This record gives sequence, C-alpha cells and structure tokens, in this order.
Amino acid sequence: MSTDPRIDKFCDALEQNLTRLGVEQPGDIVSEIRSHLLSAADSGALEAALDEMGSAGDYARQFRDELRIEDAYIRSGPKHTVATLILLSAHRLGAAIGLFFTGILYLTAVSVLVTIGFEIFNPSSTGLFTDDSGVFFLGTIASDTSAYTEHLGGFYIPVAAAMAMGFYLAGGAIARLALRLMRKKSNRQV
Amino acid sequence: MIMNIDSWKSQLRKGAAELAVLALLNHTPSSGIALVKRVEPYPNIGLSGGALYPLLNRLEREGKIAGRWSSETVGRPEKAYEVTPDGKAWLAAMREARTFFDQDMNAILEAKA
Repeated sequence: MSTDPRIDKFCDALEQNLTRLGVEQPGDIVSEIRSHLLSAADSGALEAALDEMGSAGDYARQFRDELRIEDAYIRSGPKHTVATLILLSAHRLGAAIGLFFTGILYLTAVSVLVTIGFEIFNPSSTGLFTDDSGVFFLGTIASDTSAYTEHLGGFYIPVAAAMAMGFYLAGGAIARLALRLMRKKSNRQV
Repeated sequence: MIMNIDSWKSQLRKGAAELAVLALLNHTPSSGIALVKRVEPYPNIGLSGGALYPLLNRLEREGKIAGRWSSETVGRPEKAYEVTPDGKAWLAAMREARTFFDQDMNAILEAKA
C-alpha cells in the first residue's frame, strides 16, 4: 500500500474545507477519497487522480455546491433559491449574475408595493403619469401635479399589485434559471 | 466561424452522468474506484473520477443509492454503492425519457427532406 504524503496532505486539507463549508459527515467523504487515492497510487496514477480533483478547497466546494444547487432546485421556493445564490455568488459568476437580476426584480416588486401604500393615503400624487414630453413615470410626484397626466386612476392599485406580482415571479424565474444553468454546468464537469 | 466540438460534446453529457452512474450501479453494486474503472471503456461518456464522488454523495443523500462500507479489499475498506428502490424508479423514468428523446432525434436525423 502506498503511503505517499500527498494523500495525507490532500485528505487533511479536504476534511478541513468540508468542515468549514458545513458539509455533513466529512469524515465519511474523506475516507472514501483516501481509499480512491490509495488505489490510484497503487496503480501509479496518483498524479492524475489528484489533478482530476484539483485543490482541496475547490473539491470541497464541489461537494457542497452539488448538494446545495440540487436542494434549492428541488425545493424551488424563493427563500431557498435566493439563499443559495447568495452563498454561491462569492465564487460562481452564474450565481452572482442571477442574484443581481433577481435582486433588481424583487426590489422593483417591493417599490411598486410601496406606491400602493402611497396611492391609498395620497391618491392625487401617486400613480402612472406622463409628462409633457410623453415620458411615462410610475410612482409618487412631490408637487405640481398639473404638469403630469395621470393614467389608470382608480385602477392603479390592482394594476400595481399585478405588476408587483409579475416582478416577483420574474425574479423567482431568474433565480431558478441561474440554478438550472449551474446544475447543468455541474453535470458537464463530470 | 469558430467550431468547438468539445464544447458541443460537453453539452451532450448534460444529465448523462447521473443516468450512467445509476445504470452501472443497477447492474452491479460498486465502489467509487470500481465505478471509475468500469467507465474507462466508455470515454465518450466523459465520467471522470474527480467529479464522481460529489455526484455519488448527492445521490446517496437523495436516497437514490445506498452506500455501505466493507473491508473485502485486504487492508483497505471501500464504500460500495447500490441502487435503492427509489433510485430504480428514478432510473426507469430517466431511461424512458431518454428513449423517447433518442427516438425523436433519430427520426429527425434520418428524415429525408
């Protein structure tokens, strides 16, 4: 049996990284990887086996990401998808991009919901307006409402509620799309 | 025009790894290292050892496969995996979907204008 010091070094670093990343039962994973590396060493292929795994830190992240992406994709709720994108965005560009667009859409949904509150208490200065040049403006105007033409009128609240729901659903769809792309990428890496 | 056949081949492998692993384990329960050796004759599947263990770990946590440590190999314990009943049902569904996909794709490729 080989006792190549690179095996101990890799396995120790892998266990530390798995523990740090909160992967369950790191000892079980490390035992299996050690067994794999020992077999590879016996057949003179340790170098190739270590190359396939990359650094211990990156390899530990593969375990965590494989579980996290799949879990979030299956559960599909915004809480899980957004939480997963936040956690993965530090080292995955796809997650960062997905989080960016999801965040914009969710914030827009919240903003539109806030205008509904203003519409209830101050209907004359809140709504969908156009100015003299025909530019649309959604929200609240501070003063001089005569410079704007209001549209929708009493229908603003149901329309704004539908818009907020649309932005919310679009944000969720973007988050799921990002997870789906990362899931496919994980499969491609095999 | 830049033609990258490797990129296209990697697209073909999308989702294939899970199907290949479940199918191989369904035939014969194996350890990770044994699985790596069993896929060596099929290089076009592109299943490498490095990414196999995270996949096995996920499939086990999802209940599609079950792992059990054994010490049949003298001096070195190995974790052998077998497909669970849930995994067999999942595999059957994947195979069916794959069959229908292949049928349609073959029909398109062999269709005469």
